[in-house]
Amino acid sequence: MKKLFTSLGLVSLSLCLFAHNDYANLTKDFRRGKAEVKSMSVLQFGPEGILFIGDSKSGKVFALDTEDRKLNDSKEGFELVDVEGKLAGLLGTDAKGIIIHDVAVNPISQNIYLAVSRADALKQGFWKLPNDITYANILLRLTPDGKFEEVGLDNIKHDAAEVPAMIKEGSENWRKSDKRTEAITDLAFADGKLYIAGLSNEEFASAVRVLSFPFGKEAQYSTIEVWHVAHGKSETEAPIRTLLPYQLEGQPYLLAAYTCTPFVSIPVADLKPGKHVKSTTLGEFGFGNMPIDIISFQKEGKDYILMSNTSKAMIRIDPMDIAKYKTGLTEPLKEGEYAVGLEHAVLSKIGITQIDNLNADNVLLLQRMPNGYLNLNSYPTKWL
Amino acid sequence: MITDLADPAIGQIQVSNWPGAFPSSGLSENSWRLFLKVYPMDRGMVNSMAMLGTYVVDSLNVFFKPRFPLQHGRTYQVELDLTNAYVKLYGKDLPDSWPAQLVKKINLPAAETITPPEVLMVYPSSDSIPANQLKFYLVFSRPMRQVDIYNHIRILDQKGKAIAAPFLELEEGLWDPSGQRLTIWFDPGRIKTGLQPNLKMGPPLTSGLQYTLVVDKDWEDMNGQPMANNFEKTWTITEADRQQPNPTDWKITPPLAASDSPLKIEFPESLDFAMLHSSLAVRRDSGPFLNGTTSFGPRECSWQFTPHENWLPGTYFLRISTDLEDLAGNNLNRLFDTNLEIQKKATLPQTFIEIPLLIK
Repeated sequence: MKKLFTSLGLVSLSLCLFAHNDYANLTKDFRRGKAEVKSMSVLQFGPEGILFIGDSKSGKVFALDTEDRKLNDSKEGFELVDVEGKLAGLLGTDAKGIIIHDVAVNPISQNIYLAVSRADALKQGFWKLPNDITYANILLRLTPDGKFEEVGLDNIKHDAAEVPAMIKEGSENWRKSDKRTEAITDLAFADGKLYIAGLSNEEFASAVRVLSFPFGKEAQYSTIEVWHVAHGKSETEAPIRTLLPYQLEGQPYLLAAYTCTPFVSIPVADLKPGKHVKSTTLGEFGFGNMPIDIISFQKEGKDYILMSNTSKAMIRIDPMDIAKYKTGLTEPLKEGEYAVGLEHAVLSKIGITQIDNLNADNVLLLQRMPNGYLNLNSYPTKWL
Repeated sequence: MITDLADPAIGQIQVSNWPGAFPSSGLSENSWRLFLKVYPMDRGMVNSMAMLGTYVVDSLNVFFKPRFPLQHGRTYQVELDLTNAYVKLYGKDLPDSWPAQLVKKINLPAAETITPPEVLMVYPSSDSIPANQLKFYLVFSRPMRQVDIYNHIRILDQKGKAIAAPFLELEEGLWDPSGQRLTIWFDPGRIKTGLQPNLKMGPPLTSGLQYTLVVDKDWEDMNGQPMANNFEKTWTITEADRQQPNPTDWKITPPLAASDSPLKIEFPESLDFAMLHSSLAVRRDSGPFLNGTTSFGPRECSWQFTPHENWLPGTYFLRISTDLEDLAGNNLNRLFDTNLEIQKKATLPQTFIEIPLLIK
């Protein structure tokens, strides 16, 4: 999943504009050696081929130098049928023995990175997320010509930082999964800051941590409150599932989505150390739905936001509509209502889990097809 | 041609018995990656992607170690591209008498045909342990998955309620190299008087009460097979042990000369199971340590040594490493729970003591 900082008129591929000496500066603290990653809970590309890994188990974020910086400016699409079957070959099992935890495209090379584990994918009930089942323990790179290789972590240039106040192992969430698996639910990178969503050990557990990169000072963190329309109350326990840094009227915000589906904005300026932040609920996209991934993309010079979900497989939001909801929703859901607030188009798609920008003309979807295969398909942005 | 070690504990596929005198070490590991491929099968279909793994070559064999363990009940197809391997090695075409390619299917028996893993033993084996018990050992019949250890074990009080945070939770756990013996520490911070966890939560065990160790049956071995039943062991808790083990309290029964009867040592208390393995040794005069077999008595309250060769008349020495511990972690040099500032500054701690044994 990729959420490069995006503002009106600035595409994610702006990364290519980074000067070469940024690479030296960004990786100056990196050391070659074993990256002691215990769980690849979430992947997120930063600039210069730097891959961030959120590791819920060890309570750290890692920055890996993938040394994958050869520019590929192709606008071609990508398709790989039956990804689980192919990964099964590599890992010596069958398709149901494969779980894909996250997918991220390196915006420079268009190589696709997958966090994978060998566990029983069929154990995934409707609500079970890959990280509920097991921890991802192998990182694979898939090239545009369809070749896989392992990205070994035993001898790689990297840096790591502790994430403070992580929730401890041993308590269960409503999906009967250990809450520790939600210690890091998503990462986003913008303007030299890494935003880390997930559960803390604070009374108000849902938190966003902010870590400057290159990693320097300890991460600061704020706990986040959300008004949940369908539940008719403010909530602080549920973690943000996915988040996107975004400029609204020239100011930096985080747009974030929760299970059952509040969609909120948080001014980055409010994320002060130790502060409890009340987010603004812009809309609610329906109960019984879980958001999975969020990106922004451009079509004909205009920005859109794209979000994948368990039930409304893919929805598109026009950021111009967000301005209409300055105060946010504060009332409970009324009888007969389902989705309220911010307008969103439900696209004719099924089975979408992970999404990312592939290149200027395409987004990449990890998609369970009607025939049962899990495919990586690209989709032209002009049709979204 | 292609043989299969078939033991997932070894977890490798060995290719040996080459045709002619094909030297496996003539090709690098990277070359073998191209010529020797292993594919998993699923319901009779061979996967199109070769398995990731590492190749190790010696003069007789190529070993393929898959990135993830081989699975019980699965068939793997091993394909050896002799044609290209030969060209790479000799720079000329494969002789006509040789097969162009070797293909062999190997099958690992289904896990159901193998007995489930079980806990063979818990040490201390005694039914009573002191309130400041420091650690215990679980011995399994097979190598176990080394993840989520502390979700599989708990200590219940007499009402069947799990006591909170009794253990020092080391992420990967302390396993012996076989993966069959696990050392679990009670949280030392709760045992040592005056430390914050001790002040806040108290020690995990209370003397006079009974506690039951439960090992959950859903714990899987390395092949993913769970145990058949929960394992339980109940301990009665005695007063905290705040005395160092003292060899002068031990009853030592010397063997008879010209016999292979055992040297037997009885302790007034149970000693640490693992330390008993490594802390005691016997030698004649200043000679080398004797080879022989050691065994323990019930409750780890005695130790026996039977030499491979008969005892001779004369003086032997029993060497005792001073890090030998009792159940509370007290060793011959110090108490586990001691205030080092108050403790008398003694001479440098000895690493061992020796006791002479006169054998007649």
